[in-house]
Amino acid sequence: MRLGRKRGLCRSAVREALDNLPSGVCFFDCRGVVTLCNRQMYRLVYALTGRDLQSLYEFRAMLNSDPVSGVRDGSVFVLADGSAWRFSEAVVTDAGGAVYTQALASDVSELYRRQEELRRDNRALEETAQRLRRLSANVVAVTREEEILRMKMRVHDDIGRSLLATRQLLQQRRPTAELDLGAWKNAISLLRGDGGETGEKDAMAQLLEAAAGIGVTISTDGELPADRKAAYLLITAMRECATNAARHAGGTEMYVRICSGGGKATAVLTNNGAAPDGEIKEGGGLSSLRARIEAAGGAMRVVSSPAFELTVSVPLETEETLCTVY
Amino acid sequence: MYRVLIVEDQRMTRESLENLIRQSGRYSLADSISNAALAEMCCMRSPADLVLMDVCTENDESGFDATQKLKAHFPATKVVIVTSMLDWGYLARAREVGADSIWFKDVGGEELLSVMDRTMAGQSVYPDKTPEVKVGCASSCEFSAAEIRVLRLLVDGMTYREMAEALGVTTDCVKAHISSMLSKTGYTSKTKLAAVVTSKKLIVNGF
Repeated sequence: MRLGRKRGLCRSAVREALDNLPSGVCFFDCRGVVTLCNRQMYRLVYALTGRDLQSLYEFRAMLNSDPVSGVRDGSVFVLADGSAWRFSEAVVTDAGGAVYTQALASDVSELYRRQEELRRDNRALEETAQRLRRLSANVVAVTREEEILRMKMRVHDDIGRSLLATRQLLQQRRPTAELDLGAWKNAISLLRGDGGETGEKDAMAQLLEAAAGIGVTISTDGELPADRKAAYLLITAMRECATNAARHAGGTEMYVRICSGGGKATAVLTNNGAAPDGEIKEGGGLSSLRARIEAAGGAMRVVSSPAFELTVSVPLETEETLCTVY
Repeated sequence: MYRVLIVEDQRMTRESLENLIRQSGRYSLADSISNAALAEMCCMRSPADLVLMDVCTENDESGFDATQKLKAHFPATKVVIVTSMLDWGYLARAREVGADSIWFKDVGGEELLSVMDRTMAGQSVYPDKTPEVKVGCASSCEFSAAEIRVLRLLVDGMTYREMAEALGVTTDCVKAHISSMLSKTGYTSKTKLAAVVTSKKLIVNGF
């Protein structure tokens, strides 16, 4: 302003020049009082607060609250007319050493519009990525279905061939002893029980049977959680321990105490085998078990002395409380 | 007679393999299970001479992981991995875990028995390459190892930046690989590329 006067510019010319700026500009003196403010800044502040700009205090209050009209998106204010503005502050000193606070409002409408587009595109990309992940996860299930279908087609072909051979045999009145009963039996046994996985043993029953096969009886105290994923992780820990008990400790009985509550299921596994010679070093089996448990958000603890004890905790998707009260 | 352990989670396929073994005249059935993680226990009870191992078994247990454990404790037991998926990485993974042989599940019984015979005779039977599959204008053999590494992450829905970080390369490098694959296949979108290789089972992550 002083500079303006020195160069022969009158006050109104400076104001006119400022008013013609597309950006909003306002200067506050050291007491926070408006010294010079252009039309654009007045318009913006009025549009956002419903009041005229009086002081730096009001300006800062506006920046830290939601506008009465339009919306605030982080540091950007979007007016009702759709234009987007970013406000900033800087300290300036004039030639005479007087200190002013300069407030600036920059039109970021184009940038904001592009950012919005980018956000929209990113959301669309994330949805596509999710669909891809689902497709990738389903491919194993789809392959299983295809395998079953191919097997059924093969059985169908086999039955067709057997029918043809049997009809020829009967038409030619040859002895039925020549009939290939093996082919019929195969086809019938494959078709019998068709209807998915019914009749298959569950994972726990399979483990009990396999453990009994290597001479280890598993005694459980408490119920496996209903959460199938969590239950299977506990069964995985039991399988590893039963194998180790038989292989390294000569154990014949394994005891498993299961407790669910507080959003997790915990199993404590011990056995009647010999205690470990020293501190157990987690090798292939235990370390891959740990990796699985921890990848699922669970925890695992191995105690070597006075006897082997493994504690595994796995998170539950829904709250369950199944605990034996002692 | 050689004793065979079958690891296969599909009941019909498993029973068909059981019939094949019983009627072969040179193999007997040691056991038949649906979960690969139990193979080690089965062999502890009574070691099998040969294991027919599926890749994706019950409870998503990996046949590769089970093979690695088996070969560590029962090196004399031969393992033939059988799969109906063509994933590029399976041949390398089978070698890495020490599988004696790998073959495709969809072949006839005689061909599978022949692979088993050759394996028991000490041969390692691996196909030279995975069967050729068309991906757009390209053949599945035309993709480079680096491109397949990128593709494996792409089907998991990763962004350029995430792929670059996972592979320790720049995003420009990832973009160049994807652009090369799009040019080979004639596709205009990487999503389509990912969807096609997944549905043709050229990429099956997780095993």
